[in-house]
Amino acid sequence: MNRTDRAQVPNSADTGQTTTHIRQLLQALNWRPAQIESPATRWTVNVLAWAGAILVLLSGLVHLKLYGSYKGISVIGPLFLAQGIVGILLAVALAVFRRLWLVLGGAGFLVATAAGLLISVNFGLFGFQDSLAVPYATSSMVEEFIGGGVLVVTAAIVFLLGRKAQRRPGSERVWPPKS
Amino acid sequence: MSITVGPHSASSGRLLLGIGLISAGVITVAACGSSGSTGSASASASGGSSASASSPSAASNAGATTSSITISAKSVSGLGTVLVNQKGQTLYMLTSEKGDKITCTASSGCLHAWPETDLPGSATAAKAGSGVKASLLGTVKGATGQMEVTYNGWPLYTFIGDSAAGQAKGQALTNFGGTWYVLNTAGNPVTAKATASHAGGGSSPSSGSGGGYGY
Repeated sequence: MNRTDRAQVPNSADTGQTTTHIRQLLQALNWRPAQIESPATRWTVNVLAWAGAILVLLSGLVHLKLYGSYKGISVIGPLFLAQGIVGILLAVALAVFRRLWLVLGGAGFLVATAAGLLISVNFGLFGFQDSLAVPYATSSMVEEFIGGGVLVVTAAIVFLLGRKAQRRPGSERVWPPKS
Repeated sequence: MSITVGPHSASSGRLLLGIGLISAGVITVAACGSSGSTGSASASASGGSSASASSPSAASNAGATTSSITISAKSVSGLGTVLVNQKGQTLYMLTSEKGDKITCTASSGCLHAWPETDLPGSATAAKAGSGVKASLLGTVKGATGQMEVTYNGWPLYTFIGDSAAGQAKGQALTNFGGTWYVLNTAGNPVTAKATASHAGGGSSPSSGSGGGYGY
């Protein structure tokens, strides 16, 4: 085996392993609390997911309410409307299905919303500088960061327990994949 | 090749529970929304209006129960002596409105956050309070159609985020096509950043022509 051959074999194996990793990661995104064996833990995770869904819903409804005041502002106004509609749909989907990708999506949605407000307050966003002194600003930002935290914890539990379940003897798949 | 999935026998129950929780959330939000509306209206009312904040034209009728409006000067921490209305609420100008040009309108949402300082129906001019030069006071037809008080040619506004006298939380905010500044008694924008929300202090402000940037 010359030098070139030695270089090609690991590369080919790496590519295959990466593909496996990506496939299994995508499959993991579809995990949900129902896979958790312990009823108490499963119930806790469900409650956390529902709490997160309620906070996503709250954020969406607040933005829809504020849309009445912000609708005339370029870019920011339509973003408030979009945030409100997406928030409500995401909250319902999250409460009903509780898939890992929805939990992560909800967390990202809330953190991005709060971060957007902070950027707007400190630097301006699309030419508009907001203030934390206006009604709902501070309360909604705090609520969104809390909701994001709740959903991140939920996602972590679902992922870790899902991975643990995959590692059990007799499981058809192993996480992480053996090299 | 499927991952272990829990029993589905209770899935419909969980679905109903999820819907129930969402409904509870909606009810909670509705309750918060009503109390929030009250808070919003209170913030506007403290700016001199007894009307709901959701109506810019109504909210702009500062001092509608008095015969006129008195513009005074008051010290605000970090900003020096600046213009306030008869309620002690800080007054602001918008850099894009130099020379009585009105750019803050209801359609842009501006008047919701920045209510005009309008004369009540029976009044023809604002009164100059302590420290204010009567010669710099004037009026211009505001976006609501009512006569809006001006100072040195700057139309005057309050800020919905100022919930108490002596606050200047709207200072140096850039939105609605310009930057908002308080005015000193000479009628010039004070471009310093506010350092505290309550009256007091009295440090020297930096004054200028009000730069800022539009969008």
